[in-house]
Amino acid sequence: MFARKLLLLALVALAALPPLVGVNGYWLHVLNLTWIAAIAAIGLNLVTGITGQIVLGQAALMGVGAYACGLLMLKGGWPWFAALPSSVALAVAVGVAMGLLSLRIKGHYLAITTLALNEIFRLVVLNEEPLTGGPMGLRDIPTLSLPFLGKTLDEQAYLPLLAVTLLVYALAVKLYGGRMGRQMRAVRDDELAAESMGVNSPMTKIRAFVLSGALGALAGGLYVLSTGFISPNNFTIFESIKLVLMTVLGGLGSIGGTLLGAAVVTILPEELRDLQTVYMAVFGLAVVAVLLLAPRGLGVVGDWLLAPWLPRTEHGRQPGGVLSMKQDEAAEAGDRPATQRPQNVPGEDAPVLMQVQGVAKHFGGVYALEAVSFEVRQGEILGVIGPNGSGKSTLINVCSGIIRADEGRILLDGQDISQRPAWEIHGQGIARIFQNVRLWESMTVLENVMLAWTDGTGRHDEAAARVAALAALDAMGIGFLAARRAGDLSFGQSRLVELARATVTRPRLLLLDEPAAGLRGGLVMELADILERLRAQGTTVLVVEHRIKLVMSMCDRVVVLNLGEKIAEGTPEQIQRDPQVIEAYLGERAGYDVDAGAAPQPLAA
Amino acid sequence: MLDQIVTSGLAMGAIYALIALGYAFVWNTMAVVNFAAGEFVTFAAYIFVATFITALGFPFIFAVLAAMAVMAILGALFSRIVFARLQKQRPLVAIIATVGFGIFLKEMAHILYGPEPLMYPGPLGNKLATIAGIQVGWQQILIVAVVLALTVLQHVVLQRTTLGKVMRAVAVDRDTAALMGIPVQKVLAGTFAYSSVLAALAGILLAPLFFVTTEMGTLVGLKGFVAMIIGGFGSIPGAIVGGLLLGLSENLGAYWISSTYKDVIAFGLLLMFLAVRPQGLLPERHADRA
Repeated sequence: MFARKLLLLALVALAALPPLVGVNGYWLHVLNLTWIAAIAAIGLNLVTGITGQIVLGQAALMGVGAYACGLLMLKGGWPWFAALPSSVALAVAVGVAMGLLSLRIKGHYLAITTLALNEIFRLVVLNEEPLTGGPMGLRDIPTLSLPFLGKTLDEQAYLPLLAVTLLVYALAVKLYGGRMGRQMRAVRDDELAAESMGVNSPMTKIRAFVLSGALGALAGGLYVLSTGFISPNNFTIFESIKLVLMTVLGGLGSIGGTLLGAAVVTILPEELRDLQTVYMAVFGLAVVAVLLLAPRGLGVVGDWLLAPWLPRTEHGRQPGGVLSMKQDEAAEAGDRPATQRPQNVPGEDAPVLMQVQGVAKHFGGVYALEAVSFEVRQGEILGVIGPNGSGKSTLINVCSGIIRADEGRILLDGQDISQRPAWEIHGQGIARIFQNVRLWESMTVLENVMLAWTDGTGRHDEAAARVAALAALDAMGIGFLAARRAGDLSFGQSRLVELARATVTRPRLLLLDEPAAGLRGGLVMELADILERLRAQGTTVLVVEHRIKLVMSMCDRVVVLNLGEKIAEGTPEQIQRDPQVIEAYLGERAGYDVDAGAAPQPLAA
Repeated sequence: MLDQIVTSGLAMGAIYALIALGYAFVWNTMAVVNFAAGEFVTFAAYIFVATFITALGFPFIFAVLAAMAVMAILGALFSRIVFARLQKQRPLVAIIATVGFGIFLKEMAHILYGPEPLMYPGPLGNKLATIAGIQVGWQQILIVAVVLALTVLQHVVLQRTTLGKVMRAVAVDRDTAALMGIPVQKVLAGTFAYSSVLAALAGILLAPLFFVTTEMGTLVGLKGFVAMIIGGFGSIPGAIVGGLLLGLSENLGAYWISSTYKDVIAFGLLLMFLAVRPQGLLPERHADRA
């Protein structure tokens, strides 16, 4: 790692050399354009590569910055140090607007909308000639004047541009590995899981758009200051696509790669001037090839160089087995007789933690839940069972704020949380796991768990988050996986990581949606132990399960759902004797003959 | 004046409808939006005008068939090589890859046919017909007629033939279709080939109206996508309605509001629809959510 730091330092020193050793003006200009493109491209990579919001109009944001800066200096007579920050501030406002737009418009719609906005920007600049100079653009804008750095404009601009670029990239690396970077990547990898684990995804997206807008405008403003001339042709859709090209060649989401991508896309065409007509075709094809065959692109090199400052990731074979629990704990778990019921089951007089009151939810004409009411007592393990389609998962989704109930209320400690967004509900102390594990696959296991951590005050303490996350992983016996990519894990390991992620905040209420699904026998047995340990920590558990035996052995009380309605509630013993439950679910007599007479459904056209 | 604006708007709308249909078919079967569609239009126009009409001297109708055949083969090939691999990817990757592919096609047209714009008067030239007192260009009548005929033909094929049922089965549930013995990959390639034929038709029909340049298809392709969103993402009737509506509003808007901002009108309409009715006019059940 130390060698790599030295190497990077050497490369930075090398980058500073050209104006000092008298590289000719033409190449200095090309390099200056590279640094400017690199700043705009990292903005694009923050929003598209890292946050996953497709923006195909980054050049327009450069244009906003460039025209604002140019007009303020040319027509307003402002000095550059006032014009540049003002144009960046304007782009921040545009970024907020685009972020708000992205909350309503996603995926393909966002792609076409940003393309459309880029084209609208170009047409406006082209046609509002009195203000923008129309197709001729703005000329003779005052430029940087730093005579001590050299004679020509390119010589004077080189070192400042390099310095700004390095600063921007250093900040981007810092952001990437920090909390905001984790939030952005979580929104990209799995937005739903991010929201349930406390990430305010609308705010995260807006931040990403603001950053990309600000960096785009900064690049645009620097372009004005180092050339003194802009025209609508500098900010076309094609220029936006070139910026996308840089981020793709550099590897979507890779910060070091983006700089390399910007260098390749800017310098190579100049190097291959004789092949002008061919190079764009080659680039087009290269994008497809990189995306399909080597999605990390130049990021392989970029991430390797920046590795000392990026989240630590291990590859290759894992040491230890799936269940390398600490010896004493494993022994302890084994010693306890399996049949013994835990002692600390709360009684009927225990305080109520959560009340579900008359909750209803329908999708189209289908009632997933109808007038469901029950209470969760402090410190209990409550099971919810029911046949397929009985509304169990919908219930969990409503309780965790993923789905809003149509009717009814959900009270946590007497406070109505049913209208709160998922991340606030997580902040209130309700965590969950998903039926089919949903980790943020591109992030490390440690990052997955750290992101869910909060101390309840809203402040963030990186060191405390790390300690808590490692402790939660150790508690699940998977501390050795901390530096692994979450996407590389087996299903059983992923499930344990998800449990660690859900329990790292020591939630008051843990919602488990079929935690045993897909687990092998040994892990299923361990699950009951894990739940007991959580209870000992003060966590109340609501577990949705399909396997009746498991529920009967794990839970203190059971709620039974059928076709969206609650049909029974009580201790496992009571439930097993309930005639309604037996008919609906436990099933002595199967009702095959009921449907047999019905006409087959005609195929939908 | 106004009647001519309406008729030329409908003709342009019919072109958008063709392209929107291509988007809808590909979306329904492959769940990929082909951002290179406009470049398929450009490329088809070049092949038609420069290769088959000018260089090889084919008669009009043979040149049309030849251009359609070449685009179908090209579409099927690219579907197998590139698009089939994009289905498993995130939309982000698929979108950028198709954009990259579009650049490739556009630049290939540039390399093969040079930078000079091509003029092609078409067999109908600028002749005008008078129908019910309104003067209409024959080219515009041809465009609308082709799109109407295609709509009817396509409806019959989709609803009445085994081929249509196979395509619909793949669209509804690809895995089940594969288990039932339907050669899914071939159907996907065929669908993409068909969407390329639609793009070829759009290019051939547009050639007499525009100069044939490397840029001619780009905006038309984007507006075809706008038309599909307005009509309803992935909806076949929606693509036609959306296309016609877009062409009409664009021309009327240019007439009433501002002709310099003609292209802004299409995108303004898009933003309006996304704000007010994101599911489009005739929404499809399996649509991508806005």
